[in-house]
Parts: sequence; C-alpha cells; structure tokens
Amino acid sequence: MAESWALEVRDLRKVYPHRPPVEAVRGVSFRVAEGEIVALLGPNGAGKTTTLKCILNLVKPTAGQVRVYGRDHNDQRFLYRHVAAVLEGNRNIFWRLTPRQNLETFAIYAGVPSRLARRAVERWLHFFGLEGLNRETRHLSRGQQQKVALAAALVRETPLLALDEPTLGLDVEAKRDLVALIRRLAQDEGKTILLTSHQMEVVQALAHRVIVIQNGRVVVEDTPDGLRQLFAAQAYVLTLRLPPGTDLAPLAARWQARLEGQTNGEVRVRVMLPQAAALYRLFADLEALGAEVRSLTPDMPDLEEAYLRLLGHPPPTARYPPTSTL
Amino acid sequence: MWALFWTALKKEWAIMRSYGLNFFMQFVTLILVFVFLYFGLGYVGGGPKVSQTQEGLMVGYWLWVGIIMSLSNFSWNVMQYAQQGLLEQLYMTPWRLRGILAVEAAASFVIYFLSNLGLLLFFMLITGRWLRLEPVTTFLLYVATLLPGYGLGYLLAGLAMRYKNIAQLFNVLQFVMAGLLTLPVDRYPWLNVLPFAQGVRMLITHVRHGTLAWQFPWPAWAVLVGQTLVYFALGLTLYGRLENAARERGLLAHY
Repeated sequence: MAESWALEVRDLRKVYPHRPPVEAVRGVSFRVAEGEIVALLGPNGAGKTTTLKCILNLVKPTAGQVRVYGRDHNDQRFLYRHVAAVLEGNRNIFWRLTPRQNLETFAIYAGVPSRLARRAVERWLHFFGLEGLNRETRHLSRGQQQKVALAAALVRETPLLALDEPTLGLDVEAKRDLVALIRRLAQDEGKTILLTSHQMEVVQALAHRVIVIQNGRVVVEDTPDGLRQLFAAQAYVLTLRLPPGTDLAPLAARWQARLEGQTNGEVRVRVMLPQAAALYRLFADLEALGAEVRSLTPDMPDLEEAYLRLLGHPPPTARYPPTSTL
Repeated sequence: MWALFWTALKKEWAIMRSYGLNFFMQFVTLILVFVFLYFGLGYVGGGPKVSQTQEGLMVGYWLWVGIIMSLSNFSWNVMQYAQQGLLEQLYMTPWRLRGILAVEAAASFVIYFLSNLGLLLFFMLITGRWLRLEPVTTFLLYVATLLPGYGLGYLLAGLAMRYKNIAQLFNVLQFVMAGLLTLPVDRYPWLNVLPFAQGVRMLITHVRHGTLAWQFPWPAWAVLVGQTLVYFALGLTLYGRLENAARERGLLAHY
C-alpha cells in the first residue's frame, strides 16, 4: 500500500530579491509521513526557517512544489485548515489577552465553528495545564507563554504542526516539560510534526527523522540513530598505559585525541579516525610513544557531534595543549 | 461571520481595557485640546460668524478624532502584530490577514464610535452648544466619511509590513488629516475629490440646517459614496501589493 504523505516538498527554491540576490533555499526535497516527527537541522542561515515558511506560504517560493495532504499549498484555504504553526520566538500570541482569550480568538479566527472551538479551547487548556491562568499572557513565564502559543496553534485542530525552535529560550525544566508534551502530541494525538531546532538533545528526544540543511541544500536525511551510526566506527576510546612524562601533543594533533579519564597509571583517551583502517597507523603512533594499549572500544558520538562533523566542523573536544604531558 | 466579528469585538475591548489608563489620558488630552481651540477661537475670532465657525470646529474636530483614533488603532495594531510575530499567525487563517484586519477594524470602529459619541456629548456639555444631530443621518455620514480613512489604514498597514517603521509617517499624516477636514470645498468644489472633505461638508450642513440624509441631493451622496469606495479600494489594492512584496522578501514576520 502506498504510504500517505502529510507533506511533500519537491525541488523547493527561494531567492530573496535583495541586492545582491540571496539564494536561501537551493532545491530542497523531502517528504513527511503521517504521524511522523521530522526535524530540520542546520546552522544559522542554512535555510531551514525559509524552507518552513515557504511550505507555509508565508514566504513566496521562487520555484518548486509543496503538497500538503496531496493538495498544492497555494490552495491556502485547504493549507491553513491542515497546518498550524508556531514561529519566530514562539510567543506570537496576543500579550494583552489571557490564555483562554488567546485560544478563543485564534480558534475563531482560524475558522473553527463556535461549538467546536469552545470544546477545543477547553481540551488544549487542559492538555497544557493552563486552565487556572487568568492573567494576561505578558505576565506569564516564558515557558507558559510558549505553551499558550502552542495551544493557540493546536486549537485549530489541524493534523500537521510546524514548530520553529519550539524550546528556544526555555530553562532546563520547562524545556523537558515541553519536549514531553510535544512527544505526547504525536503519540497520543496523532499529530504530524515538522520542527526546526538547534538543540540536539531536543531533536534526539523527539525526531523520528532528521533532515540536515546547509547552504540551502539537504546534506543528509536519516534517523537520529542512523546519523550517529554514520560516525560511530570512527570514534574510539583507548585505555593506555604510558611511560611517565609522555608528551601527548602529537597524538592530539593527528588524531584529535581527548583525555577522558586517568586512573591507576592508566589513561582513557578518545580519538577520531577518518576511517577504520587508520587504526593501524594509530597503533604505530602509540607504539612510537611507548604506550601499551589495554583496551579499545568504539564510541558512539552524540547527535550534536555527528551533526557538527557532518557539517565539516571540528568535534567539540577539549584538545590537549601542544605542551601537554602525562 | 458573526462569530468572527463578535470575537474581534471582545478581543479589541479586552485590549482596550488593558490599556485603560492610556485610553483615559488620550480622552483627557483630546478634551483639553478641544477646549483650547474652541474658546481660543471665540476669543480671537469675534464677529457674527464666530458661532458658525465654532459649530464647524466642533464637527470637524469630532470627525478628526474619529479618523485619527480609527487610523491609529489600525496601523498601531499592524505594528504591534509585526513586533509580536502575529502577522504570520493571522495570515495563516482562511480570511487571510486583510480579512482579519477588516473585521478587527469594524470591531474597533464600533467601540470608537460609541466612545466618540460620549466625547461629542462632553464637548456639547462644556460649550453649552447643543448640536442638532439626527441619529441615522449622523451615523451614515460618520461611517461614509471615515471609510476612506480605513483605505488609508490599509495602505499604512502595507507600508508598515514592507518598510517597518512608519511611526513618523503616521505623525505627519495626522496633520494632513486635519488639513483635509478643513478644505474650502465651497470655494473650490474640485477639492471634493480628496478624502473626507465631502463628508465634513455634509455633516456641517446637517448640523446647521437640519438637512436629513434623504434630503441631500443625490450628487452629494454620489460624490461621498464614490469617494469612499475609491479610496477604500485604492488602499486595499496597494496593501495587497505591499503584502505580496513583503512575502516575496520574507518580511511578514520581521520588525
């Protein structure tokens, strides 16, 4: 049976008519299945927010095709009955209205019939625990405001939800809270979610699939685990016994070595290899240093490391200073 | 449609209440300015025609307040929405941004019309000069005179979206409005093509001579309605172009 796509993006391009013109999106294509959570990942200016806004028709694409539940996104009536979004700082709500007033206003503005709107308002206020908050939203905490913004999008009862940096600016607790709620939206409410985020732990916790965008192009598309696996065999943790006063600088420079720990005359060092075959060269270097290898284990990088390496950045390691000795 | 209007009305009212002190101070300022203008005119004006001029001032000032209040509410809303990222949210509705702005404008018009009536009552109380206002004629002329202002409001909204900071332009426009309301249309009839002029003249005629809505000659109404439709349509068209330009450049959200 053919898979049913909530969203299909084909060769999407956007050139902003600035002087000089800025090519923000250069042929992005991907699909999102119903019930999936897909994350667009990329550095600032990569084109992920422009991609999202082109999908939502908030920015006019230069070329390409976007279909939402099989219908072209230029059918805006259909589009906005099927997609809701929380964008730009996630506080795009009426600050001088209470959470309830906000939800009521957004529901009716979105064309939800009054009777259904009343039910939706109660449901989402309850879902986010906002029932008791009768203050204007400008007086609420940032985490609460973000929940109001999300609830204001959800009262539209659309099956697809687009979230731009949903946890940006939240403290650890509020972030964890919101991530759990977003996961529930997919699991319990069957929502399809397309999100952008810089926060790897958020993407790792939420996304079924990650699409990495750089310079307006899709660099890779995979599951978070798949992305990590891509680099798994290239990172190793070595337990070494070293002669006293060994200078590790050459090792650090050549193999991006990082000291992980030191106990009972043994050191644990993490190294990065361009490919598995380079292990032999590493062993030769260690032998030259007089090091005895006690153990060797492949190390799984976290998503952030995998992502940075994918984009060609050095891994976020604290390297040895050149004069470092043990 | 009724649910949409009612929701917009509740929302506008809630926001207005939230700015209660600001709203009150605005009223006090408007009354003080009126008192200075009115009694100042009486003091320096002299002559037999001063009472007619004072009537004109009262009507003209009342309309000017109505236009400025509606216009400032309209463009201020758009600027606020742009700052809060709400333009995009409102764009993503079946009514599109222009539809939502129209409904909100209609809702705030109701609130401002009622509060403006209170203001006029206050003017009459202070001056002791009771204007002969027939409700239906007054309402029709008030609406028809103010509608071109909403066309201008759309234009300002479009400019705010495309060029962002238009506060200075709005400040200048307040004086342009005052000028448009005091044009000598009796001497130069062609000035009637400009917004507001015809409506002010008809309302003053109503106040002075008790002419009712259906007693005005049809060409007078034709000019007023034509002017209203043309300026409203012009504002809406230019707004549409500016909105498209903002979407093309990805400016709908940023401020």
